[in-house]
Amino acid sequence: MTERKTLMSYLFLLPALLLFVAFFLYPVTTSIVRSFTDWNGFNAAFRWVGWRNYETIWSDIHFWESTGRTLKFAFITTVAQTVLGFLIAFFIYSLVSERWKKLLRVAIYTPVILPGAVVSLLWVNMLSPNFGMVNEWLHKLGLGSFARGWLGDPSTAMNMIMAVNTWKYIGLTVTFYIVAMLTIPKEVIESAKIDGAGKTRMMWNIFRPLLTGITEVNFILSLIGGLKAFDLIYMMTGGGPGDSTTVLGIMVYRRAFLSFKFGEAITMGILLFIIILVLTLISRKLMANREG
Amino acid sequence: MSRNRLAQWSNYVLLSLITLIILYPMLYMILNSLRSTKDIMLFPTRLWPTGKLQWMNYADAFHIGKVSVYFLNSVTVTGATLLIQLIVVTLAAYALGKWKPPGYQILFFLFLATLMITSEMTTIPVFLMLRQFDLLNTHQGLILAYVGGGIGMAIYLIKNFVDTLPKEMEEAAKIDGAGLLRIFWSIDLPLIVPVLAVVSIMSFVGVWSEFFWALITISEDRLKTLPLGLLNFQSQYNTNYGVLLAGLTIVTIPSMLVYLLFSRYFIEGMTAGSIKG
Repeated sequence: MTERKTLMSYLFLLPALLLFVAFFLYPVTTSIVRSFTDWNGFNAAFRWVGWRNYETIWSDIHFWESTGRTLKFAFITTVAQTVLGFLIAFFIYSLVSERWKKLLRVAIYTPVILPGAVVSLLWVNMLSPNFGMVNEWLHKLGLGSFARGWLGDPSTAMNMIMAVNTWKYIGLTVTFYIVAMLTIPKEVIESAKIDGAGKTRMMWNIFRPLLTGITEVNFILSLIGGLKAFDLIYMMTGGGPGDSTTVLGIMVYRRAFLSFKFGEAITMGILLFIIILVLTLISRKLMANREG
Repeated sequence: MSRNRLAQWSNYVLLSLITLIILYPMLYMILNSLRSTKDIMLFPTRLWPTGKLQWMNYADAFHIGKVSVYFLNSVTVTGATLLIQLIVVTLAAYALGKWKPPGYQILFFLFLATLMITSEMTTIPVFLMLRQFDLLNTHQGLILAYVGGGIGMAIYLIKNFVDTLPKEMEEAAKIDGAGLLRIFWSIDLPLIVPVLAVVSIMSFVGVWSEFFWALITISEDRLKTLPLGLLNFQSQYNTNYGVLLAGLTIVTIPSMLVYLLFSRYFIEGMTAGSIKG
């Protein structure tokens, strides 16, 4: 019986294991090994070149500029999403009307569900210089001098994409916070109220410390999302104007699928993975310390 | 009293502001998808359409803009991905959670470890592997990439659920002489349907809107899925806002329907997924 069970188990596990090998084990090892070769993706032949790929990228000014943009994008969107997300969640949580509460909870998550392509094209349309909704509103409000081609201007393109990114993903943060807030015992909140705590005090002294666990989850999820950002940027500006929105995700894509330098692209992918890993570990560490 | 009133008012202002910022873009999309370009460009602009609603925009998007082709492709790819993925991960997660063969802890750890790997580490070798097998520019290649990429999370969620299955019914069934497969098929499988629903809904939303893999593997227009197809749609209808927005609305409807019908499952899936930390 046990033998049969074991045999059956491995039979059940076989398809998943094959996929694991084909889509994780093989590509990860290939990536690491090939990053030390001059392999170009087309010939089977390759030579060992040691750290040369890494050195090429290390001395590439474009790589550092993209890394800077990626970090800026990730940190600003993460902080905006976490802080705003907390405030909005607290606001929805403290609404008296159950109906509004429900409605807002459903509504705020809808942009998360919207396909990235829809979000991008919709906002490109709304931010367009000619008949874009945003410029029209500015004119209506008497702020016409601010109107511009938001995505065609290197000084505003990045900020606009960060704003759209926050608009799309803040629902995720808010939902996590609300779910966590609902688990805070009513007695804690009541006794704080009796002690005369106002809304601000309540938020800062009761909710914030009780929610550090979920803050960490929210922070890290948006951080990883920001560091990997690709879809919205690719579809809204393609990395331009100039290089003003070229983040690492875009750069890896271009290196591989436009210039066909697969070796360099793979190396960059590994570096991006290391950046993500290190920053995740650092933020976990920092938040764990604050908690203790 | 007046302070209370003020607080109440500021509450309402905030409430409307948040709702407006979230919903206005979507409202704009839906309302303008029913207007002619001339009507959209009228100055001063108005949100509500004036004149007749242009249902033709939808017909144009469907036929001339080829949304019908992209839509069918998306349905095929999403449907096949969900079906194959569900079978593969259910079998694996069940074996890991229920039968616990020798080495099952290591295997489970390996599947979990895939959640740590970012796509940047795997994309290029997988792309080249698909090219090797002549699977670029095919739906099969795209489906394989989606199924393969999603196994970690799905196995994790289902296995955790299988761990909680009750044992009593199984004991009774064993006494009745039911074999392993019988117990799996007629006792346990019906019990894990809820978690399978969560997994399918999460995969549906992910695959339906997936862009990157479609971008790098599909270049033939007749094979494109909706998110990718919309992109040439944009350059084609750059100045025909109504048709473009009709196209965007068509893509949005299936995701929205699934979300509004099953929003309870979304919260469940998300909270279950986030516990891994």
